[in-house]
Amino acid sequence: MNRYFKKLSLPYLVFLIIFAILPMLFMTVLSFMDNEGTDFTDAVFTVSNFEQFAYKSTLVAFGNSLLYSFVTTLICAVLGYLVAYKIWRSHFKNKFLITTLLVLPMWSNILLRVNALEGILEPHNILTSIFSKMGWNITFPMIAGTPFAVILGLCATYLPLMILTIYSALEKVEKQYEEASLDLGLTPLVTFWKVILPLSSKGIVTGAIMVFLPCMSGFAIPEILGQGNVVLIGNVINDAFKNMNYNVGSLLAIVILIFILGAILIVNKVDKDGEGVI
Amino acid sequence: MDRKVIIELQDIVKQYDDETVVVDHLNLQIYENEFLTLLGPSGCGKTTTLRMIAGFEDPTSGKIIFDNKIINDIPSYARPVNTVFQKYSLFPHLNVIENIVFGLKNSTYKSLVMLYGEENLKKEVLELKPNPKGKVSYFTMRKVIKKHIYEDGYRALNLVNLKGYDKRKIDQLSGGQQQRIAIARAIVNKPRVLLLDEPLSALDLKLREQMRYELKDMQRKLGITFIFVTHDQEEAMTMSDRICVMNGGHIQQLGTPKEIYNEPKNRFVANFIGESNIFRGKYLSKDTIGFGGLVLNCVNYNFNDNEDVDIVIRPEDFDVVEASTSDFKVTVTSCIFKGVYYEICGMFNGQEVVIHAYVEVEIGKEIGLHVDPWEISLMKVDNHE
Repeated sequence: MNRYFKKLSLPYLVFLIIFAILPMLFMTVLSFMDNEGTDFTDAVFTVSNFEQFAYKSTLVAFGNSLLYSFVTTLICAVLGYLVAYKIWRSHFKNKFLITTLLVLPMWSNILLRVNALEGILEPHNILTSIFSKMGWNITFPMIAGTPFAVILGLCATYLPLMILTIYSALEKVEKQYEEASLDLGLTPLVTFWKVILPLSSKGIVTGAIMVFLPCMSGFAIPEILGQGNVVLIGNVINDAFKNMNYNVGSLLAIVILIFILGAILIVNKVDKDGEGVI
Repeated sequence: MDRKVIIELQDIVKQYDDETVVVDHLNLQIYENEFLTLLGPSGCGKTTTLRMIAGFEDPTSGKIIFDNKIINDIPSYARPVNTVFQKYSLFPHLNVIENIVFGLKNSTYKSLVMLYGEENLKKEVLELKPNPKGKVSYFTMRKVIKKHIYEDGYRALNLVNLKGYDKRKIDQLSGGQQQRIAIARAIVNKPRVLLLDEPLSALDLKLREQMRYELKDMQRKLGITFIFVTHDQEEAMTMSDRICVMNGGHIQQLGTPKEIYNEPKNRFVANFIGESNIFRGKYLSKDTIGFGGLVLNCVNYNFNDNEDVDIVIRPEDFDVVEASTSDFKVTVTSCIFKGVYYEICGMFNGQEVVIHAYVEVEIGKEIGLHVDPWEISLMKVDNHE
């Protein structure tokens, strides 16, 4: 039995090794090398790439990444919980349909959506052209290029992930625990804080990881909505690769990877021992 | 016996949206300190009745009266009852002792002060932190209350014989242990009435039998009312002061276990409680009944002469005698050894008769039966059936 299942996972294993593990190893090696683009004729091993961390711009980008990811995760957790809770509480017959509707935006291309959002945040957007046809001349404030626009874009993009994970965690909270709490004299509000929230906290943790990770490593959203005013570490890496500086790009990407792995390990550890992770 | 009524159900009807009537004009008085069992097959409305008392379901019409007050509109968290759930519903994110003190710990400061007595608490606070002006700080008060709460929690844990399990996680407990924790969690709040919703159904037979005695014992020690829901008639017989047999949302019979067993009111009760042989016959004249060509004596029943009656004879009430010495002759169709007794099935007038006897009989043989007059119970014929 077990052998058959092992064979089933083989294709993905091969895929993983070729397209994830090997490139990662290669990038690690690249981090300690100095060479021109893909030309390895003059390649030498060095630690000089680490000088990158002495540059203020790198540190700022790094700090920005942490800050923006954290704020986005926090906003998504709060908004996501409210929505998921509402769906869970509602008497809709077809809750699957509702959750599908929530993921619907994800069916269209992310760049398309982010660019569309950027268009709306410009002073002259679709509304101004509609209003001008009707004879009103209204211009909107310039929102694109501000930190707010970046946060808005990150939240709008990743909120569905948070809603889905929290909703599926809530689905597992059986009504019997709520009844038991009410029976023991807790009001519905206290029951929420003491029973429902702790029992669904796993969903928040999983959702937080799923939001935090792409925020930390992504570069498209800050580039489009930040318009160069907001630089995250993803943009620095992107620029490095664009300029054929594969060594520095690899180093930064690996460092981010280690950060993310560390975060997941910490969350897993806390989640195992403690009951309520928040 | 003049006893105080603690809960009264007046004309309770529960109808779901699809118009199925689960509880149909139910009237029931529950006394203080009694062990009352709601007994019936699944779907008879017993659990719904319990859930209405707990406040999880609203009756469609009728009144639930607790201590002379109508509590229909009081939410479940404000009702002075606690429930032991069928699936225990222990909180998986808390350990044993935190589960037990959950209710107390999360009640309001005011109610806790009332529970433990303001004067007592103040005295203890002053012993802990002497203050010449007799001032009592909120935080020390809280500390003293917390001490009391955990004392109560550990006392409840001892009561259910699980000393030393306080720090265990819920998933490290067996079904029987979870059961006891669920009881401890409910009784630590000192409810006036404890509701138990088939709490033993998930346990294995041995444990179930043991828990019956423990529950009864606990009820006596605590001196509170237990309302117990079950479909297991043996469970009901062992523990209850009174049994309320339900079917189809109606009360079929309400009485002590003895009354219900010995004098079932109708076919449903007779069949549901233990095994019984029911014969359709006639009440010929005072203390004489006839069925299937037999004439037997009975006692203590008054019906009209020649009225149709249902005659109930329990399998263990037959005595097997020589065929020649009795008019009640049965042809044996099977004889199975059941441990303490033999279960004998025989045919009488085309109707199967079940007999429990201590002697083995040959299959195909004709045996005689003897019944003492006081073992025969009579029921009015229910024309609705």
